[in-house]
Amino acid sequence: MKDPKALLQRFLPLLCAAVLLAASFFPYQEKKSRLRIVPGVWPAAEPLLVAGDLQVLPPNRFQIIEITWSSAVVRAFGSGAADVAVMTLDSVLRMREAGQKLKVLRVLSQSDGADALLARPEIQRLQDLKGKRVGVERSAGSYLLANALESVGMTMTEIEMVPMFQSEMEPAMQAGQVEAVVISDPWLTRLSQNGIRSLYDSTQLKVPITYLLVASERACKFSREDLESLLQVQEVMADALWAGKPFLGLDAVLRRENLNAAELSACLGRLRRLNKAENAVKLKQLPQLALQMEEQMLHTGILMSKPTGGEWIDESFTKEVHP
Amino acid sequence: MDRRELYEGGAPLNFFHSIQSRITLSVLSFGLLMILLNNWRNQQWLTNRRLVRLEQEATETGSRLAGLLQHLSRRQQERAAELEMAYVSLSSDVDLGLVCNKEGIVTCSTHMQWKQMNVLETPLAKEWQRHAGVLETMAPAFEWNAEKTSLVVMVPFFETYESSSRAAVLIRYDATLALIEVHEEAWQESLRQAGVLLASCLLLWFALDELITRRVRRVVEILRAASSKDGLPTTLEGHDELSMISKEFAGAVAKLRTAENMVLEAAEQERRKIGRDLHDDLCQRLSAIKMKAGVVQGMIRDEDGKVATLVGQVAEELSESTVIARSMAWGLSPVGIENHGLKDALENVLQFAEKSYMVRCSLDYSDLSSSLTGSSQELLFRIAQELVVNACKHSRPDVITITVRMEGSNVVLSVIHDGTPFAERTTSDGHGMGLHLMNQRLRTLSATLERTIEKGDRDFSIAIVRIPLKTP
Repeated sequence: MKDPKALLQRFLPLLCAAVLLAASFFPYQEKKSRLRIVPGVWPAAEPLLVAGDLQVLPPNRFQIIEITWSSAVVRAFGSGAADVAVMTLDSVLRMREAGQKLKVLRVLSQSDGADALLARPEIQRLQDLKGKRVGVERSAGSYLLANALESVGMTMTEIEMVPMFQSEMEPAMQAGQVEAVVISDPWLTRLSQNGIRSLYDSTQLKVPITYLLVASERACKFSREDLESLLQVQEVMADALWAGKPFLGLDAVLRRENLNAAELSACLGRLRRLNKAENAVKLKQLPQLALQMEEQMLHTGILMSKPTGGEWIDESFTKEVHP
Repeated sequence: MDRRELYEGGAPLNFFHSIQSRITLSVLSFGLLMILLNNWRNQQWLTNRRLVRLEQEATETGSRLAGLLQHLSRRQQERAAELEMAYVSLSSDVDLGLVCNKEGIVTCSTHMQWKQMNVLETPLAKEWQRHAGVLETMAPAFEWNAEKTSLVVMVPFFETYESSSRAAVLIRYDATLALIEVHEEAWQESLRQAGVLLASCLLLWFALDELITRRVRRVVEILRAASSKDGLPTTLEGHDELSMISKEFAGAVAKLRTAENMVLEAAEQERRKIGRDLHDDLCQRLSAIKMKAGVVQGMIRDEDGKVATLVGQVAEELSESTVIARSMAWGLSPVGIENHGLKDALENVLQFAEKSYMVRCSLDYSDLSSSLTGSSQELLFRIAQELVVNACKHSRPDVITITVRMEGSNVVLSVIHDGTPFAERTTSDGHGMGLHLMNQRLRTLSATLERTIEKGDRDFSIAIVRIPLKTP
């Protein structure tokens, strides 16, 4: 029995049993479920919504949930009800401030006039907003409003801020419940047609409003393959959407956004889409942009403290994904 | 674990014939069967539970949403209704959902593009048509498809305070993914159970190997040693059943050996008695008759030469008969008759060999009369006789030498010859009885037999018998 081979042979069943028991009681790998995506209903998210409509993203792997309110999108993502969301950089900073673990996978587009401060015709200048009721949604709107006011030496305390959802702004303006609103497309397009004046828009911002595709850390860990597929499809669908030609699914886009083709084209024109190379560059610039935006938001009181936490940008997806 | 060590009628033990394998495989098979049954039962139970939960969720969500929408629509809060619908669609089981009025216009849905469309243009057209009666009865409808993979719930409500302003919430749940999940969960659990079962079977295998197989193998070794080696068999340590068997076996062997010795001793005693009777009675009578025949021959020699010759022949035949009777008496009891002892007996054997096989013989003898009992000397003689006769028969030697001497506490008998070496075998058909008896005698003396060949100009075969004096 001193022979090591015989000894090993003798105790091999015991060894195997121990390994098997350990393996049996090892926790299961968390089951991979459908990737839940809340893109929001805005032009920047349309490539994903179209992919869902056309079932380019298979329903057994992807669940696309249409939520019209951007604040609800942030809440759904923050509560873990969704794995992937489309949100603006300021929302990402707010979520990071709240300690939310997320990863930015791609810069989808940059607002090039797609967000604006609109006021009733009698309000000619930003200074005229003093003491007026301004409707704003807790998203990029408050960031744009703060910048707009700051540009003329005013602060948020000099106006009466009315929190509301963007979908409520059009009827609120028409009913005279607010004198101005901060609104983005597609509501911006619809409201602009009613003689409403734009006092300030996103082209004037020092740090632009950027639409980002973000995913939870859990999704990055367990659903990498699905995320890669999602990014591939997003790229292809964005190409089709920004090409300016009719495509399968365009009708659904127009109905969803409640726009006609020309209005949609105008909306897309106010969103600067980033191609893969630009996206890679932008992802690299994102920490610096975030820092600048963070300072402004801290200065204007939108952020109460500096966001903490580790790495929040994952460039690996952009590098790996080839449409 | 070398299973070839265990034999079944001389052939290696088949894996499936061993108790260790049979027990382990039986437990494994039974366990796997139980796991499969449990998997089936578990899947049924989990599926039913999942479907019941889905039904509960559908009922609750439909009712809640209908109530809320009635409230919101009466206050013209359409946007809030959209949000509610969006939150409903966050459920992973919700496939599609919409809110539609009596005119068939979609007011709110999980997909924004259906808003203000006719419900019949949406993917839920069939479901709406099938349950259109809900708007008449104002009672909720609830329906599974035949495969129980899709559940439709339709709950009516009033849009305004008018009883004609009827609308309904229609939600379709898809249970396919949930059921796949249940299926996978059940199999994962079964896999875990199978892992534990396999580990348990390996532990059982190990335990059986340690507690039974290895000990059985040891018992087999003891049994084999008992039939081939001298001395009493060893016993298995411990206090288990196998240990008891080995102890009982050792006791039985000890009793058998004692009985064997007693039989041997009885045979030798009977042989000695017959020899002694032959020598003391028949031989004496024959000698007396021979002498008397000599006297009668002298008395009648002068009177009639023919009668004297006849009587002389009778005397000669009586003399030969006396020699034969003495020889028989010696053969039956070679040691101790006429107080000649072991040395004379051995010399006689050598004389027999010289005469019968033309072999030159020599004896180197140290006196052992005080070291061995009479019966032991007789057994030693029989052993020497067997060795010498066997050598003469099978090896055809020119020279044979017997040495008897003391070495430490052993009496050592050596038979050395220059004949061709041969292999001695005993078989069960009775051949080799001499060798069998020799082994029996060796056991009785607790003696060992060692055979060697001394190489040289001529090869010498040497058989050495060592008898320990301390052993009774």
